[in-house]
Parts: sequence; structure tokens; C-alpha cells
Amino acid sequence: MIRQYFKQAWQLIRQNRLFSAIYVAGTALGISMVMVMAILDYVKTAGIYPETTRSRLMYAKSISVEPVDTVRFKYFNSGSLSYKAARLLFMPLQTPERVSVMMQGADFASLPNDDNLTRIQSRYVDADYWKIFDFRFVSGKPFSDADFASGLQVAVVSESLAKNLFGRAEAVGQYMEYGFKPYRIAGVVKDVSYVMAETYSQIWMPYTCINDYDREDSEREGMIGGVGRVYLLAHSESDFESIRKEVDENVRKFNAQATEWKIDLLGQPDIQSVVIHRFWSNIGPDMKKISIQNFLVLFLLLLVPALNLSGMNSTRMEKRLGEMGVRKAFGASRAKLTNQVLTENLLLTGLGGLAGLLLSYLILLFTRDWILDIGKQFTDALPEGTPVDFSISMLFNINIFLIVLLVCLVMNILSALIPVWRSLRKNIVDSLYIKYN
Amino acid sequence: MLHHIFKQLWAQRKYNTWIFIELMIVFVLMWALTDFAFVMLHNKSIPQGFDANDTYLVTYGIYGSETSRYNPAENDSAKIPENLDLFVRKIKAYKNVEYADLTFLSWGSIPFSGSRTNTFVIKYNSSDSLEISAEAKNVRSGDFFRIFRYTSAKDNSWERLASIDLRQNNSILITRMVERGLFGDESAVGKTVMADIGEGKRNYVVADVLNDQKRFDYTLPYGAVFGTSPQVSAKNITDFAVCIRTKQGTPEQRFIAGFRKEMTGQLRIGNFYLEDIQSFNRLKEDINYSFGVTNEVRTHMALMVFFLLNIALGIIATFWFRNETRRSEIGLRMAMGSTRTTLQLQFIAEAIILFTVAVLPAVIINYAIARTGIIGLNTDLHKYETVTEALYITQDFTLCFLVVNLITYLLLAFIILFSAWIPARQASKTHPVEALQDE
Repeated sequence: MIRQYFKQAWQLIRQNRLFSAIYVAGTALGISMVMVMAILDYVKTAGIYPETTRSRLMYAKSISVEPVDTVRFKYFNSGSLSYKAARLLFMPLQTPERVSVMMQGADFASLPNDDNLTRIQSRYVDADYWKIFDFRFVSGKPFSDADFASGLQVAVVSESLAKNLFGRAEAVGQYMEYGFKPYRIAGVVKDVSYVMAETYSQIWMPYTCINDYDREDSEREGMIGGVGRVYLLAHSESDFESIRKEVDENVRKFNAQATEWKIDLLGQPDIQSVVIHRFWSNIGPDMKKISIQNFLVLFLLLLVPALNLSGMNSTRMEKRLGEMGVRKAFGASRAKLTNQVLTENLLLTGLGGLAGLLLSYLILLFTRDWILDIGKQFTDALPEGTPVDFSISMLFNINIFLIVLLVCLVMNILSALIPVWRSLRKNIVDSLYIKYN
Repeated sequence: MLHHIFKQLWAQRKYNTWIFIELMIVFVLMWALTDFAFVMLHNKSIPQGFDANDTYLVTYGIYGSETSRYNPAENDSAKIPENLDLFVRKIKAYKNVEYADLTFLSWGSIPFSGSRTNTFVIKYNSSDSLEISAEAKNVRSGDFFRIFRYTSAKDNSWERLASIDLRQNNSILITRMVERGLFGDESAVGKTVMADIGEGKRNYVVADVLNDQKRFDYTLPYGAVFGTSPQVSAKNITDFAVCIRTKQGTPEQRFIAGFRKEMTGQLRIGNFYLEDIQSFNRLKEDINYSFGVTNEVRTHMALMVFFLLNIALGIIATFWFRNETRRSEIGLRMAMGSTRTTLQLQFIAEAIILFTVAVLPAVIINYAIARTGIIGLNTDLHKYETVTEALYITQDFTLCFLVVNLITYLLLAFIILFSAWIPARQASKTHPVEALQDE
């Protein structure tokens, strides 16, 4: 039965080329915008190399402090977590599988005593970082717990940095300078796309290399400092609630003994879908508002093309009134006819969906340098010369295809249902009369 | 003819419902987007107040004691300023450099920095509590004005400003906005004001008045005051950098690449090394990007194009398929003497009138949105954040609202006109006999 519908639909398309072309174009336009949003969301939240464990990760990146004595200090303060805060609030946690701390930087990389300086991004991590994220080592291995504990100046570098400095990826054991300090290369990893916000870097070193990584600021109870992120890897998603409870308990314990400043984590630790919306340290993301906004945008992006398509379908239904009348006279029920029209329409919508998906790939290709930063209230400009690549697996995968399918179905129903329903309300005689007169 | 068209539209209201609703919704959406675009373009067109073309920022780094290149012999309080002076002199001697000088960096003193310091400027010994908010900037030497070409409101020259020694007589420079706010139509030169430019609240004498300046491309001008900066010493070395103005028209990329290649070795003086050189135009782009403005502009433009394309498609589709259903009518008209042109005009007129009718409820919706702020349009910062009232069109709510709606109407009308014309042309090519025969 379905096959017959599709055959008929295909015939209709060939007979009305102009209509079909405009219809497919209209559908493609609408679907492409939605797909761009869907792909961006996928890239930011799904498990992609090397952040394959995103579904089990929680993050903390900032802290807010308020004065206990509001006469002496009038204002709230906020900023990044300090090492002390990470040590007191997150490191003692029992529920997570692993806890890791990361600090960030940017400085010059060079060969020892060479004037050829390349500015690169860096991350200072601990040994657990390598067990949370799934880096692929081209040669060598990550620094060990012992290296980390002793603050040994070792580094893991990206493949492209190794090639830049030494001409080849096998650079284990060689020496380089970062920030004019010598580091021995312990491992070389496969390049990480700039698209991966938590792991992109060119060099990773133990944060124990930083002289004063655990220096406590004399103000604000030393809770604000230079930690970039705290990562909590849960055993499974069902542990998120208990992790939050445990963290809240640690916060409560701290505040109970605090004399000058009380702390507030503003809803952290966050899961993946929330942390990408947290920009400021003094105010958390309003997820409800963000969800409503996203829904509204999606709705409008689908609605306006759907209105176009509905209009076109209305006209088309008028032309097929006679055909519908005859079918009804021969006993077809309204439901059956609606089904048939929707199925025929689905073919057109499907073609539009395919075209829309290809269009969305094109859009992403041309805007890749900045499109990931849309919607961010504050963002860093792309470091000079950084390539932004969407890998094949980010664009072609089951999830994306399923989403296209879903969007097509929604579009189909939005644009065909009402016109069909309205035209089928006419009775048989009227339909035949209108057509042939 | 108008009456006739109305009758036609009403008779075909069933077909017209979809496109009518779409026109309404798209008008509201386009109004919001046009509002943003209007404010942005308006702000961008206001003069910056200085000239950042051909200017560059050169930052130096200092080898720390834990690095492999540190030379302890160069680290005493006499050597450090000496080395820095040599650093600056070498840059001054580089080819194509017109001016180069050590400039104070902190808190918004150079253009397009991400931070700023605000201070309140108050008339000295005044009975009223008039305070004007202004950005405080610190200037180390007169060359600052030659490099960035801030202009005096008196004769639009920067030489005049460059020749003022701010360290004498507690001098301060203010912009026109501050002058207007504090002194109205009187000249502020020679008068005393109170402000905090980093030395605590003190009295200063206004030495000259500058033209208004904007902090970013897309914001309205804000008040500013210029005072002296601390002198450079071994203790505050990291608060300074070198700013350059090259000869006019020196190609940017080539200058930067050449500078990096030829001066990196030369500028390794003592523990100083060349950290970065960047053009101020690039810094401006970076700061616009960082604050999310560039992407906001891009998304708005993309959305505008999207909705306009949809409307174009919708109008073309509606009118094209109407041709087919009204073929006999067209044939009849032509047989009765309508020219091709009249026919096309009728089609286009139908489209425009349908659109205009759809605009009326849409404008009411726009007004509701603008007044009640149901949907935050995020333009308040750009529309209103300036010091004195009612200087710019964006601050007048009614005028701005009317202008933006008008622009939206014209923009959409143009697209609709064009989109209706294509099928209209097709329809006018119908041969009357064929059309009537079909019937």
C-alpha cells in the first residue's frame, strides 16, 4: 500500500516539476536552519573524541563568595575556584569515580634557546585527567602519578605541535621550552579539534609544575584562585543527584566554620548541557529561560517555512478536489485519504530534508570559525591560525540522521494536515461539482 | 481599481489566509531584527573620536627568574628602565614608524581594551549635586595624542593636545559630553573639576576639551577624562606597553610580519623580549568578537536573510499558483483590453495591499513588545547607555519605533514587489485565446 502511495507521489512530482521544485526548496530552507542548530547542539553535548564520557561528567568552574560581616565588606565577589576550594569541596568526594583539576594558560613554545616562538594554548592537569578523557597517544604515554606528585617538568604535546617543533610526531624524550622553561616530552597525542572546549590544547603539563599552584589568596578565605575546571566523572548518570548532595554537604561544612566569607557554588557541579551555558562567575545559567528561548527559536524557524508550505498545499488540494471526490464516491474514508496525502507529501518533505541537511553542512563549512560561539555572552577570539574542523563523525552519524527524520515528520504534519483536513470536509458532490465547473 | 482589488482579495480570502498570517509573523520578526540593525548602524556611523588606523600595540615580556633565559645581572632598578628605554628607541628607529611611545595600559587607557575605569566628575564648589560619569584614562606623554589622533573640540587637531603637559598645574582633559553635562553651553577650559583618575578624588583644572568618543564601534559615546599616568619605574613595568603609529597607508600584515622577523632578535634587551605586536584594528575586531557583538550581528543578518527568503518564496508560490487557478480571468481581462503592464501592476498591487493590511495588526503587536518588553530585545545597552539625554535618535522611543517600522515596511515591500512581479510577468504573457480555450 505504502509502495503504491510512493509510486503515485513520484508521478505527481514528475508531473508538477515547478511546484515540486519550489516545495523542496522551501522545505530545505527551513530544515537546514534547524539542522545547523541540531548539529551544533550535538557537537557541544554528545560524546566525541576525546570527550567520550560527557554523559557521565560533571563540571565546576566558578565560585561566589558573600561576606559574613556585611558591615566590613559590602560586596559579593566571584571568580574561578582556587586550589584550596577544589581540595576542600571536590577532592574528598566519595561518590564519583574520579575527580580531576585543570588549570589553563597560554604562552610561547619553542625549542630550547631558540628565537622562533609559537604562541600556544596549554592545560595543566593531574594524572586522573588522562583517565577521564579518552586521548589517543600516537607515541609515548601520559605522565604518571609519580611524575605528577614530584612536579616533574614533563609534557604531553599534540601531534601538530610535535611536527612544528621537531619535524615529526615521534618526539618522546626530546626537550622543548614552554614559557621559556624546559620540559621533556612524555607523550604525543592525536590532535584535538578546537571544537572540543574542555580538552582542546597543544600542550598538557602537570599543574604541580606551577610554582604557586596551591597558593592561597589572603582575601576571601582563599577560595578564589586560578583553577580552570574541576571534573567529576560519575559511575553513571544516576549518581548525579548523590554527587550534588555530597558537594552541598561539603559547602555546608565550610560555611559553618567560615568567619569572613561564605561560599556559594550557584548550582554547580553542572552536567554537560548546563555547563555550556555558564559564562559568568556571579550568576548561574537560567536553564528554564534558555530552554524556552531555544524552543521559541526552533518553533519560528519551522513555523514560517511551514506556513509557506501549507499555502502551497492548500492550492494543490484544490486542484485535486475532483480526484478526492471520485475516491470518496468509491468508498475511501477520510482517514484513508488523509493518510495517502500525508504519505505523498512525506516524499517531497523527505527530499527537502535531504537537501536541507546538505545545505546545513555547507553553512557549517563556511561559518565554522565562529558558529560555535553563537549565543555566548562572552567568548575568546579564535587564537591566530587555529583551524576549526568538524570531523566526519560529528556530521554523519545516526543521531543527526534521526533528528532530520523527526524534523521532516514534524514539518510534514505541520504543513499538510490542516490543508488536507479542510479540503476533505467538502462532501463528494460539491467536490465533483467544483472541479468540473 | 483599489476597490476592485479589495474585492478580489476578499473573494480569495481562503487562499490568502496562509500568506496573510505569514506576512504578519514575519513583519514582527523583521521589525525586531531591523530594530537591532538600525541601532547598530546608527551607532557605528557616529565618529569614533580617535583614529586607530595605522596604529599597533607592541607588548614586551620579561623573562622570569625561573626561566632558562633569565639574566640576573640585568635585573636591578637602574638597568630595567634603561633597557626599556632602549627597547622603545629601537622601535622608534624601525622603518615606517612615525611615532612610538611607551603608553600606560591599565584599565582602559588605550583604545579597545576590554576594561575601563569609571569616575564621577563633579564641578568644583558647585551647589548642585551634578555628577557626570566618565571613563578615566591615564596618559604618559603627549605622543599618545599624536599616535591615536584624539582631537580637540576647538580646532579638531591633536597637536594642540599633544603639546599640553598634563603633569603641570594639575591638568586634565575632558570630552564634550562631560563639558555639556557640567557646564551646559559655557566653555569648561580653565575651570576646576573634581575627579578620581587613580590618585584618589582630587581637583583638576581643565586644560582642553576633546571631541566625543565611543568605547566600542557599536556603543553610543560616553564621557571621558584624560589625566597623567604614573611614571615608569622598575616596579610598574608590566603596566606599560609600546604603541606605534606608522606612516599612513603602510600595509598592515606586511608590517607585522616584517617587524616580527626583523625585530625579535633585536628586541632581546636584558630580560625584555618582544611578546606580541598587533594592530589596533585587529584588537578592535577581537574585542567586538569577545563581547559577543560580532556574532550577534552575524546571527541577526542570517535570520533576516532567512525570513526574507521565506517571504519571497511564499509570495512567488502564492501568486504563481494563483495564475493557474485564475487563468480564465486573466484571459478575459486581456481580451477586454488590459495591457500587459496593467496586468502586472494589478498583481503587484494585490500583493502590496495584502501586505499592508497584514502590517496593521503586526505594528500593534510590535508596540506591545516594545513597550512591555515581553521579549527582551537586548538593545537597551546600545540605545541608551550614554551620559546626556536626548542627543541621539535611538533615545527617543516614539521616533525610533516609527522609523524602524517604516524601514521594515519598505524592506519587505521591496522584496514582495519583486517576488510578485515574477509570476505577474509570467501571467501577462498568457495568450488570451489559449487561456479562454482552457476554460
